[in-house]
Amino acid sequence: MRKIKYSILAFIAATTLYNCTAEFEEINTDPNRLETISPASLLNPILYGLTNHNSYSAWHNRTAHFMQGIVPYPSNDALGYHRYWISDAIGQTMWNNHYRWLKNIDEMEKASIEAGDVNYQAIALTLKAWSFANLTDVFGDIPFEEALKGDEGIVKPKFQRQQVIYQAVLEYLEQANSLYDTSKSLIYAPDLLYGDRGASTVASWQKLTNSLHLRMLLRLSDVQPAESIAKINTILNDPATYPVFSSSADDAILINTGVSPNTTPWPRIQDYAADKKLSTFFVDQLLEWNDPRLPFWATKATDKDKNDIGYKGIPSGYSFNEGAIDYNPSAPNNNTAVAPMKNIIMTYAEIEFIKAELSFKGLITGAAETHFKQGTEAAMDIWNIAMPTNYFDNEKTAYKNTLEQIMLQKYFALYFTDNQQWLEFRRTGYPELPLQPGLYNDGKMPVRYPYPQDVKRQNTENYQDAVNNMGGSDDANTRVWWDVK
Amino acid sequence: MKKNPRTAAHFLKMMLFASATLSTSYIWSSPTHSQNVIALQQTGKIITGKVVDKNNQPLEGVTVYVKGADYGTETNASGVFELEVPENATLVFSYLGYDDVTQTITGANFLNIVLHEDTEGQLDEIVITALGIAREEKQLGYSQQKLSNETFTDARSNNWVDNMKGKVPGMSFTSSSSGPMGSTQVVLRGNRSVDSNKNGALIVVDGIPINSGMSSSGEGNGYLSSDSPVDFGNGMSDINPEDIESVTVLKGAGATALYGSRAANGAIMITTKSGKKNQGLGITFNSNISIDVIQHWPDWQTQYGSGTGKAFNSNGELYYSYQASEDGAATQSNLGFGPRFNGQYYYQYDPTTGTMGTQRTLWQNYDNARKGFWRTGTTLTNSLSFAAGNDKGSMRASVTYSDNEWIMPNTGFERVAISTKGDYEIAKGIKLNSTMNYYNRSSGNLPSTGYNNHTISYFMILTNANNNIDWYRKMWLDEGKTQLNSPFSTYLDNPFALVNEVINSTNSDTFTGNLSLDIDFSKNLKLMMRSGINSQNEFRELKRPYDLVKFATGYYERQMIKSQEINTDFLLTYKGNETDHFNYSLSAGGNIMSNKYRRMDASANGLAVPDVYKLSNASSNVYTESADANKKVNSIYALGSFSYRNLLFLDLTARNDWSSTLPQGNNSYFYPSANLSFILSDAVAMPLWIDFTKLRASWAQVGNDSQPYIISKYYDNSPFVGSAITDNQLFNADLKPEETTSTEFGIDARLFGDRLGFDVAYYNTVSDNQILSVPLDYATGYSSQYINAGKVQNRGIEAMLYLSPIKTKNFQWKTTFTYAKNKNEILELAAGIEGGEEQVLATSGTVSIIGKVGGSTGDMYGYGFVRNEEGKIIYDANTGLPVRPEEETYQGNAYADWKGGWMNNFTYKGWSLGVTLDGSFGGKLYSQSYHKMMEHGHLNGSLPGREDGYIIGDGVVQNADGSYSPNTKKVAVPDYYSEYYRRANVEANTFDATWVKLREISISYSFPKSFLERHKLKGLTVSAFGRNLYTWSDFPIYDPETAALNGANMVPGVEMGQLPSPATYGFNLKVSL
Repeated sequence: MRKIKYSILAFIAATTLYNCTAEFEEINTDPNRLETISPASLLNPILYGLTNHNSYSAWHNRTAHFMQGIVPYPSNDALGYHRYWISDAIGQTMWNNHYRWLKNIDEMEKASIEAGDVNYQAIALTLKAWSFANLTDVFGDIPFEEALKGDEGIVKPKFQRQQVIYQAVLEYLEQANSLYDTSKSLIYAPDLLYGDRGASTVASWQKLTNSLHLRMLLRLSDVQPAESIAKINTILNDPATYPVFSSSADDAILINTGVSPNTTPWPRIQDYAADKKLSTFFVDQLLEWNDPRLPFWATKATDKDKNDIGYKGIPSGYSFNEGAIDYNPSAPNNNTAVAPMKNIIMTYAEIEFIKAELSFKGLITGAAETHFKQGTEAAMDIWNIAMPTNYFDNEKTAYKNTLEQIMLQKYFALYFTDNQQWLEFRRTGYPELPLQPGLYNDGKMPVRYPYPQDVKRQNTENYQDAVNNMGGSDDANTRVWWDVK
Repeated sequence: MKKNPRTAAHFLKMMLFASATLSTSYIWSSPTHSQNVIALQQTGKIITGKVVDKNNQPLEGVTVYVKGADYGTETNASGVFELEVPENATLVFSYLGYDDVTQTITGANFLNIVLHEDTEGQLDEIVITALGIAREEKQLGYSQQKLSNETFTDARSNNWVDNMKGKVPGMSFTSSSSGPMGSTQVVLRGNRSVDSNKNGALIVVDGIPINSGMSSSGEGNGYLSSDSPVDFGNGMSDINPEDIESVTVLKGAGATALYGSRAANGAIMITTKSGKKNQGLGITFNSNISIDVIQHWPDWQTQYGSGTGKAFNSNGELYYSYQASEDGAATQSNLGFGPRFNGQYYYQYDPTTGTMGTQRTLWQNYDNARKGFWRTGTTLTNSLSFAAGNDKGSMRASVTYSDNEWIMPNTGFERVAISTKGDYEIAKGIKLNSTMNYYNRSSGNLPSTGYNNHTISYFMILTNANNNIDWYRKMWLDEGKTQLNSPFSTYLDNPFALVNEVINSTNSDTFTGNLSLDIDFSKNLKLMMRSGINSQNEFRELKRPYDLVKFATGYYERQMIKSQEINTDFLLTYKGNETDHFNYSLSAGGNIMSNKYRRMDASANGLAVPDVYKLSNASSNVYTESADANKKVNSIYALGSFSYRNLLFLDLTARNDWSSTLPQGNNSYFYPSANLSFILSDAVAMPLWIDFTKLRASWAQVGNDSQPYIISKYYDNSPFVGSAITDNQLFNADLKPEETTSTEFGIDARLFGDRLGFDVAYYNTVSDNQILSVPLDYATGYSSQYINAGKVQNRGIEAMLYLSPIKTKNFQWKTTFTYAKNKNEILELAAGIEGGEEQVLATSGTVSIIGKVGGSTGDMYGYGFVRNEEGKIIYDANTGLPVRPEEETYQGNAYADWKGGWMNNFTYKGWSLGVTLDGSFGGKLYSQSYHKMMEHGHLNGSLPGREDGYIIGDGVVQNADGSYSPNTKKVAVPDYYSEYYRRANVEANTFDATWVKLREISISYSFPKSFLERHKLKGLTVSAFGRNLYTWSDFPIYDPETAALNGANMVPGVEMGQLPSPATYGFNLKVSL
């Protein structure tokens, strides 16, 4: 018995002395998650995440309400963006989503540099420019150089002036264009945007890079006209070096197939139009033009006996008696949001409207009317709608050589394109939107999102500096740098 | 009562066969042993006798047994016994609190036995301390409290933990109120961390730590995410209260320094019942039935129906129309600002046609609009236990079955618990102990929680008074189950589908077991070796039908979870020879803890065929995700106990842990403790009325590690093939271990023959380098980061006072008060944090918990109202709505100022009545449900202004010259409530969290011995009880005590779509054979 007892004791002593912290590193290594990635690993989630956010959260739930594309009715939310009532939360999802995906883009860029893959690097730079521009257009000054560096210990990044950011993103696009090597193909899994194009995938990406470049230069055309116009001309005059979109086939549209995980932002299609209607402005304009997009975008209104009364919207920012609307107004048509659904990054139509505006202003060579008409046709192509041959025969649609007309058509061309309708309105003041007495904010269109609550809370000092730099108040009426009109 | 050993042995054999515990079955199935018993009975003679105490009072219930055999009897109420014994047998008389007496039978047939009280007296209660070391209470230099079995069985709840409510000062509970499983976390001495998962006390059952963390589906958070969390219960609730012998609550770090990191928040040591040595077979049957009734509803308004409040007819009156009708445009809305119920008629929904009726129908309130959904819950629990023992060892086994139908239709759970526990002296000086428990917990459906389209709380918040719940009973509009019947809103899913078609099921098998060996090498040297396992296999299914707001074409997920923890430890103890002056013992030991977690989730996002829940029915690729977590902690420790003259006791402990989860170089941490106990009443002469006074002091440090895999960079899974995404949580390669330093002083006094007693403790706990995940601004590229968070202090007083105001032979009244006050203060914030003065600790919705030096980890910040110097709310002169502040401001502290309990126990002969009240005073609670119900006009608070059709906010407007004048601007009623109670207005939606609850009333009757003897019973007790019977509180929703789950945890001070918490009424029957 004694022997047994003491051998147990000896056994314990032996096992205790064997201190096994050596295996700790292996134990504390996650057997599931990846530690390294390829240049393409992050690309599809980035593309899906950003386009999904831009269609749903940025456009459908926010700026489309400012721009009278969508009118909530009945007033389940008593106030609402269509009445220019800005909630504290308005900028939070934009901020969080774009910075979140920018972090992924940043890592993608690093991985592609490490792998020496110039095409993925150029794609990363393009997406980075696009996303940062999206952010700064909405907020003004934002964290930029010090952003995305939590892992380097910067948890309260400094904000930078919008002009600095714009300068940098234009350089990203310049650099991206110079990096592309169209002789090489993208070697990893096909991307969601252009992945189905095989050998011309890289060429398509390059066109997107330069097209975005044009969009951003146009945005600066009021605040720094000389440089912007010069660069625009450089790009347009040298399509071999700077290829841009030349037909609707080049459109940067990510299609949600509806097959998980590439699903549409609206799991149930009825929620796309639930308690949402179209504005009188929107419907009447398309009616006036006899525009074939109207039936695609809108449902018909019905009277109280459910009889078809044609297309009829309600005034955006309507004032209080909802009982006075004695019909069921036209609502957004589910066609637009049902899978396969289009998430627009940028289209050929926009390029044509950029050219139309610039030729109208005499800043580039070419006929504004041609670009206007090509832009209009291309805008219908986005939705696979053929432009009737007699479309411009109508007195209302015939080219009148006004900026207002160009911008009004462009407004419809930018339907469903993140915040672009609103941004172009802020830049040009077009289209002219009819105003209702029920508006808040003194009836003034918000021109900016206030910074999100989280930023004020987490990064108070830098936030305060940024607000001071921008003129002292963090509200929806503070104009960003490029907004000089 | 006389025993029949043959029957007893038969029972035992059957029982052991069933439990199949190999390690112990040898003992009882030994054939020679049984034969001995039979032989003894055949040749014995009958001995009678009487047992009395030193005052010649008869003692009832004294165990009388034959030494060396496994049978015996007990004395009756007159102290008399009768027993058949062999010739020359030696009888042992044993009674709790008294010294044993051994008497050899020499010839006399009648024995007179006198028992004397234990020399140490009853004060020397034995408590189980860290590592399972049994200690005399008086030797302990730290605060602890022992609770007996009755605490858990008298007024039983579905989770035994709830039965401690109000009974232990300094113990508080974080409950999720999220369904029948009702996960509860026990928090001792205040929240050290804002991460609720890190505040829970360690739960140890017979030396085996069990899983007490929240167990959620891990799907989303509580606010409108893609899916909603489900409370799948935790290992704590598995334990059968009938099996609990006692629970010792070790509050301070001094108590737990030896247990290591995991007990940094204190420990709850559960000792399960075991068979008593030298007692014949005992069989106990317990049956419990209870019903759950919802006791408190939100303050719903019942005077106005659906409507935006902005649709008027040609007479300028509010009207209702389900769809556009001759009365006007459709006004159906989730808002409750429609017309008043005045007996008028409108075109409304017709449930028979499923559309607008052709005739106008009565505009009325339906009381069942929300309440009609719920039902009375029932719980049935039966348990059967067997116990026996001889002088070599003992054995106990029990089986329990519970069946619960919760207050929400088609939800509930079933639980089976099988436990065996045995010990045996396998050789001289070597004792083998074993405990084996098997638990099965299953549920066909548990509720989805939080605020989300497919949670029932969302429906309850948004549905209108004019919508009869019965109109929803038809769940589907088509046979093929593709279109749900949701007639009033595209946001609201059909509530009956939410319980009958949205399914969260679980089936979990848990095995816990340990095997330990106690070896006595000599009188001085002892060794304990133990290995314990806690292994759980859980299978869950989440089913979502077609046409839910968040799942258009259905969803199916299976989660396979396996978790296992193995603890192996030993303790070698050398006890010095006893002397009168100075005694000591020295121990040293080690522990290896290894934790493995494996999880595989596979989901079909979209079903090809509706209503078929199989992965093979996925309409796209099945997405699989695996999540593992491995962890290992090695430890060595030592303990020295010294006593001087049996009145001064000193314990010194030291422990070092090595944890796999921390970076090399930071992964070893040492912590010591010292505990001093001084029996003042023995040291100096005290007045006679002072029975006992003890002073105690304790100082301890405890270290703590983190969860695995947070010290290096990983990419997260993405559902896109061949893809990954960056991790939103920033890792921390320099993480340091947490360190908690505690100091405690206490006094324990018992006076007037134990008629009055009190125990007061003061403690001061400082937590340094807390490991926390704190929110980051997304501009950093991350949404949160792991940090060592600085220094947090918890200081407080815990007191317990008990009295026996009445103590007569037949009637007794015992009353106990508990009080605990804790003050939480941030002393320092992490050095590395930029800025340094402020750290956002948690954010839930629009409430942020912001830590500032000098503040508390429960400080809630958010928007309030803007007020002038007089404190009047400032309104915007143009809109007539409250001006929005620029800055978030302090809105209150989530923690209670103090908590207390009052327990009463009345006994009259066999009758016993218990009444417990407890309360929590102070603290704030933000209510998401309240915000939404006010914004939507569903509460009585939203009635003012409706008759006038406008409301003028009570406050002032600022004039151009900066002065203020009264606000006179009329605002549309819905606009006013929508803005005044907007989600971000924390001030308007926050309440005083004070509550007092009538926690327990139980009345029981134990049948007298005379009755029992007639019916050959050992005991028969019947009782009736009620729990959570009434709540006094200002909180307008269901229950201020519970919050809702937010992912896998809860943010203090924030309610997010809670579910009702019911009162429980029940009956209990306990029979012992």
